[in-house]
Amino acid sequence: MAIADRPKPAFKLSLFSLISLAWRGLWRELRSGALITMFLALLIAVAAVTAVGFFTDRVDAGMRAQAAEFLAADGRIESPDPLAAWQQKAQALGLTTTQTLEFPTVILAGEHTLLVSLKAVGAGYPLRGALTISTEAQNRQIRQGPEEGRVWLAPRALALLDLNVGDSVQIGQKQFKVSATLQREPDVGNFLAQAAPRAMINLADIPTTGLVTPASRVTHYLLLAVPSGMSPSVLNTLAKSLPADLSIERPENSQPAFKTAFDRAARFLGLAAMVAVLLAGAALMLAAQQYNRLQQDPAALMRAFGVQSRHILYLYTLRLVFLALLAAVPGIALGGLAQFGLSALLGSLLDFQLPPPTWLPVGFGVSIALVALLGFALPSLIRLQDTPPLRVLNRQLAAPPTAAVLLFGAGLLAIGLLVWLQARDAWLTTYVTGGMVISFGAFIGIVWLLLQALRRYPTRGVARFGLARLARSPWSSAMQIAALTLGLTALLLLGVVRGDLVATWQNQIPNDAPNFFAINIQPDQVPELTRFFKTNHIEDAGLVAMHRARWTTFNGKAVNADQLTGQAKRLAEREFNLSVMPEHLAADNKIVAGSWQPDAGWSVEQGIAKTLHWQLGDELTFLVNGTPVTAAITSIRTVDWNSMRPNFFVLGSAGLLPRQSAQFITSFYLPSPNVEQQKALLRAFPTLTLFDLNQILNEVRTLILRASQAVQYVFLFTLLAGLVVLLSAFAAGEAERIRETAVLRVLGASHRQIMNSLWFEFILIGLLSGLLASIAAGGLGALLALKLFDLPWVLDWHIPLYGLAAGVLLAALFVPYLGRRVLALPPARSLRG
Amino acid sequence: MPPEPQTISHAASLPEDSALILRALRVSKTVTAPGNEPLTILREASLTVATGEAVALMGASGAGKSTLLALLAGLDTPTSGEVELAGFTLNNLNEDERAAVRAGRVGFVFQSFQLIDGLTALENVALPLELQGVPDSTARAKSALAEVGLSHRLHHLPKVLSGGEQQRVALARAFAGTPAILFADEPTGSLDTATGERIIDLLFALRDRHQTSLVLVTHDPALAARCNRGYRLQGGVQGGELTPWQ
Repeated sequence: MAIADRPKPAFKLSLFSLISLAWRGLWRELRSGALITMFLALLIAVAAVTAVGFFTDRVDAGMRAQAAEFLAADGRIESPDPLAAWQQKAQALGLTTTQTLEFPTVILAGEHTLLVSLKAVGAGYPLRGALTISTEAQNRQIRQGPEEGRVWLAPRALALLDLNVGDSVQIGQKQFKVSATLQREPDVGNFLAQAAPRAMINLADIPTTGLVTPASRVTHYLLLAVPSGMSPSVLNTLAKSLPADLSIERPENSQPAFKTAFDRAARFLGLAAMVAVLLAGAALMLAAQQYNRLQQDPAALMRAFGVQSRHILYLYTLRLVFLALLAAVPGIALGGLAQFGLSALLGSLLDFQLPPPTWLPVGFGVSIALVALLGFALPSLIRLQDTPPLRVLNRQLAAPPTAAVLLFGAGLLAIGLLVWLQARDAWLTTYVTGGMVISFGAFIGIVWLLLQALRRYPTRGVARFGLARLARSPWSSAMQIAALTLGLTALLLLGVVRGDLVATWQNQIPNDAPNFFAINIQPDQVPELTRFFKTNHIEDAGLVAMHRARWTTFNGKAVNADQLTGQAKRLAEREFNLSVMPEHLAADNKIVAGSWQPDAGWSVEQGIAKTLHWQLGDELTFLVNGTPVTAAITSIRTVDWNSMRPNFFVLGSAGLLPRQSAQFITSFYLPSPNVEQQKALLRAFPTLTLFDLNQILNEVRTLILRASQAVQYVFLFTLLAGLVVLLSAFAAGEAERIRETAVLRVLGASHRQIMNSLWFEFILIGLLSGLLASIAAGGLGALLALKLFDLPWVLDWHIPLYGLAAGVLLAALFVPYLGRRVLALPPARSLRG
Repeated sequence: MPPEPQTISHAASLPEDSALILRALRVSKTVTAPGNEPLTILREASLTVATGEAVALMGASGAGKSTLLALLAGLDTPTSGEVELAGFTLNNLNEDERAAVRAGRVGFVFQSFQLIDGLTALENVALPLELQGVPDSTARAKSALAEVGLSHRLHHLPKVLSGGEQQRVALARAFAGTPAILFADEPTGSLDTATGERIIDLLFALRDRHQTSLVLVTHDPALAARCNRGYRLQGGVQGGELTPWQ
């Protein structure tokens, strides 16, 4: 027969008829329940990612809208030296500019003194955003700084100094009138600004205060704004002409402390949502295999009716695409609702209103659904196109199974793509994908081996039948148990490990952690202050000597700060605070190199050693009170800064540092409200300088609490996805089980025998999954604690108990249901199929 | 264009002036039995079916009737010999090309009905019509079900229908697509005698109305007698042998 004579079908399936067939078939199968597990798995996956997507999208949009305000400018140059020359250059380029200065200083109000973070602002400040001040009870927004001779003080400074608006204070050599309370400024600044209350004056007052000399530790800021109508690229022009140690900070990369924290929280939330998606993927894979079995007959019939194999493939692919779209709609709606919960938990931490959500996460939700379905479900159905049409006459024939390589390759690709879409981080993607694959593969391998071993174990009666059923298709049994294990692992992680982790995390900063630092304590005040703490029942961290010193030589060579860059340069230029090694290493310090030798050399902190390229044995000289002190590094330490106790980058042995040149420092805990106690302390020790950490501590605590609540909230979806996995793992193979039971009953098996064989099979499955899940959850918990959260981890011995109990409980819930299903029909009906 | 018909040595009672819709020439089927032993199920079977003719395939269980039916309908390929269906020699065609030959031309009725569990009676009948892209598939499916007397069962699932009703749905499905030839594999095999008889009456009535060629596999001589002609398939160690009957 010539090629031209190749048969043409009497009908041709158009794309439209394929779409219409796929769509109608989808409805029928959703109605009949065949696709319900896949639908649920997808819905949950989409809801999880869109909930997080909507929320992070809103935070991002809000942050972007507010970004310029974080700097009070479009760009900012920071320097320890004056920036007047650069201001002229910027003005020549057409930029609007102003300058600010920041440094800590003490202000005097009658008898009282107080350490403040002073900020002097030039004309035009703030270039972007606004200040909030109050003169009486009412707040108002203002777009300029104080006039000359006036100071605005933070509410805390007013309270500690017993001042009111209208009173006078002395700053340096000049008297200022307090003309307003400063409630909020756009560019909050650094740690010190939060630890010491703010005082804001006009830049023109600085010379008369006499506080700024060439040796002063002052931070100069040049604020830049691009006038409307001018291209923002002018900032780049300026940036190119700057020397290496100066740069223009932009709003997009200058983030308030919370932005970094939020980015991190958003990443965790995204990953939590992704765990839900990956679990849904496991459910999809199982459900698709079940669906593949159900579709063998219709596919064979269609082939017998003369449908081309590729049309069968198109039909099932289209059906899955429609299913993805159909599940995405309620999924996105649920995600949209759920994001309100996240906004309620975390939105209050932001000092700006969240803008309404955009449509972006909708597209993301739909793509997730499509990737998940095409990656996890389609490969199982791909061979339906090869169903032999002869199956209509001989039901023994079936479509060949999809090659394992394709099945798992596609799954792996989908996992990788999904994680990458969420995390946009190649390293993290590899890590998570690799972890999933290795654990899933390990589960399958272990279960397969166990089944092989059990099969050899001589059994009788119900046990033999139950085991035989598991061992007959060890591959698919292993997959079912592995999926079940995955679901149980998620449940254990959420139920037990998460609780342990969150508790450890929240206890990182105990409620009675020191919340005040006191510095400038003179050696002769030490006994008196110790007594004060004792009589007032204040627990302090001990008075620790502190020496100001300058680093002068490194291994015999003079240190030249100009040859260093960045953080190293800044460190070399400034004075170090050195302290004396106590006899025993403090609990919040750990030696990572060398050994603790309280009577020899320097002990340095790991981070600073890395920045300055210090190594064990290097010789350092510090100029302490005019005297050079030289010794070798004998140990390198890590420091837990969260302990809120005085800690130092460099500790010297007792003999190195003379006690008489020292000042002392301590930290202590005052329950709030504590204004009166602070005042009492300051009255008794007027030269003492206090840092109040309450605000920072509270913010950190609230952030940790809310972030952990948000992660738990997102994990609800993971929990649901885990349950769908369990459902699909148990439901897999139900039809075959019904048929086999019918055969057993025809052969004379009693109800009790059949139920016993089901119990045996499922309790075995439950125990195996529970045991494996406990190991996995314990291991993952340890990994999360140690690597991700940097927390100590104690193995919770309850986990295996909970795991085994959960496995058996699930079997106990499922077996009666399955029993009713398999025994419901008379055997003849079941056999007739 | 279909190729020229070839000479068929064993063809008997060939109506001279009718076109052939189906013919088989020395068709054999050998499979590999467990132990790698070749097992011949069917040996050098030849037959013809003219357009509009009803032909019975008789034989005891295991004689190879269903195997022959599968080969004639292009659901399987012979080890040797030739099958020509609706003018196409199936031997040279791959599975998809054979599907193209069946599409819209061939109908089936099975012993086990082969209705799709999740679909209602109406949806089962409409399925092949939908596959053919027939625009008013639902209306045609309804009228086909009316023809078999099941207008009141349109929206019922197969599991709530009796065996006879299920086979009537299958008949409606087979005739709704107006195929040129219908292959019926023991259509009464799963039914009691009285129901079986009613189904056969219905099958022949529909066939006469639609002028459909029929290949009917049965072991029942009375049923075979209702066809124009028949062949008997005799099982044997050397494989089933086909001889004209009646």
